[in-house]
Amino acid sequence: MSAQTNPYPVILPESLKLGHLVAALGTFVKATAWELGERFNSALAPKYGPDWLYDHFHDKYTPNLHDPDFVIQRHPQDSILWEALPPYSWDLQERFKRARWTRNRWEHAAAEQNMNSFINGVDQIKRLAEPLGLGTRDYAPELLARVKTLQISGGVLPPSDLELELERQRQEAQEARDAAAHAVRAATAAVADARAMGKVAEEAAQAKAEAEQQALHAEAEIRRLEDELRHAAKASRVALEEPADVLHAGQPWGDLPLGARTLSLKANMIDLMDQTTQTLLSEQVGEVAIQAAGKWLAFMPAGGRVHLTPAGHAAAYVGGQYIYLGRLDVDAEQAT
Amino acid sequence: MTTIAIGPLVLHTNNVGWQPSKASAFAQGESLGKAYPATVTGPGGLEIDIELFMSLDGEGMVHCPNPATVPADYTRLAHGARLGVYIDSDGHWTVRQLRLLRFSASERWGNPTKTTLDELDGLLGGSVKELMSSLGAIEVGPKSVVLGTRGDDLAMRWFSDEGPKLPLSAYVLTRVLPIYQALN
Repeated sequence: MSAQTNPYPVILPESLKLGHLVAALGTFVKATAWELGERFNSALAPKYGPDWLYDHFHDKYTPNLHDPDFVIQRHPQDSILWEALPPYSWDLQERFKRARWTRNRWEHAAAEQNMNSFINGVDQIKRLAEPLGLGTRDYAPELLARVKTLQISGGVLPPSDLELELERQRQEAQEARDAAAHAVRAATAAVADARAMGKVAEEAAQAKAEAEQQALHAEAEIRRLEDELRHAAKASRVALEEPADVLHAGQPWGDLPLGARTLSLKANMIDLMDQTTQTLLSEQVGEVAIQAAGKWLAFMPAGGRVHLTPAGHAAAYVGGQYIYLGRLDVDAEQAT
Repeated sequence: MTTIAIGPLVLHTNNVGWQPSKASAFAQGESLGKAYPATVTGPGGLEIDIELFMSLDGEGMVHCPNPATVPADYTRLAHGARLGVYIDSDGHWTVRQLRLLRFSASERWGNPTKTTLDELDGLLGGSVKELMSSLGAIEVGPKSVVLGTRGDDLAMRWFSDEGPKLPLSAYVLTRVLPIYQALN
């Protein structure tokens, strides 16, 4: 089989809607798997013959050479696939593992994904493609640039490198928590089994206690990282200077450009909903959203559409004109 | 603050939590109580405000509190189709009739009728029992099993400590999702 053009050119999302992100990231994964499959074939077919895939990997079925499920995974150190790759290393193996996690998240739990996990996912696939010298590594900057453009046009600040790193750590902590929760369930079952069989359940009980401790630790780590993430995002917002800085709540917004990011101010939840990402603003920025929403509802008790600028200045159409509602972080500070 | 995926829909709650409230859906007229607000979002900009209202006498419901905010396609939800929630004498919370809204896209109407776990699994695209258990349900199944009473409706029981996510999720599953599926 000769090397062919990758049938999966980069797909850039046209919006931050989940379906577009799924298509873009899914294509990135498939393109990377396709290229890697070609790499395997060109290196291994001459040495092991055209049926190398069947000869070495046929179990119940023969895997598809370009299937991400086959290609993007932790390959055993003694696998012949390493003959087509840079020398085996723990670091490279980890990159395979994390790329696989990304693939699984977007394949099996796509509904739970969002813009931040998209950015992180692109980064994980890029981290695999780079040391392998795959052409798809060039997809990553294009994808990230497009998402940032979409963010800006939606009035959201592009995340800083610190925020990206914190988001990555947060996802890792969540995975650790999920693993610990799984261990707790398994240990609980083991304790019950041991008791049912009349055996001493001390060991199983200790394993359960340790797993619970790990779960608590992971949970605390997630909280810490989320706090750090919110502080970093707040610092980015507050550092911005905008014409609306001189306005006072309730004043006409005037001719200033409206914030391009629109959210619905919710009277029932005292929060703001971002329909683009289907998340509450409090999920993204924390309690400041609820505190600010509480103040803004004084101007529009039934709620309604709010325009938010990158610095967090809010405007809404009230009484026949756009008025200034206040600034996200400042209003939250005053509310406390 | 939680988000719970229920098929293509997402249930959102935040830290605002229980608020003093009143509702007028009971035989005795307006009741005082407390309400836990939530929002359901979905593809295409779907956004519906819902709440769990619990009256002071332990009777409650999940419903759309403000008909004016219900999207036009989902108007049925502004006219009843509430999900009853009760606090038992032993302190457990229950849904005594977990019924499924049979919504007709052409008539823009439908009513909740008896359903089965299998049917709900099919609607969700996964295990309803697993979903509800992960949210703290002690038991989900036929009324005779869960409550020990006659009838083949589904019922659900949980500890009050598990919070309002269970009945809110059950409402999204049995009221909002069938309309979404019928319309899409």
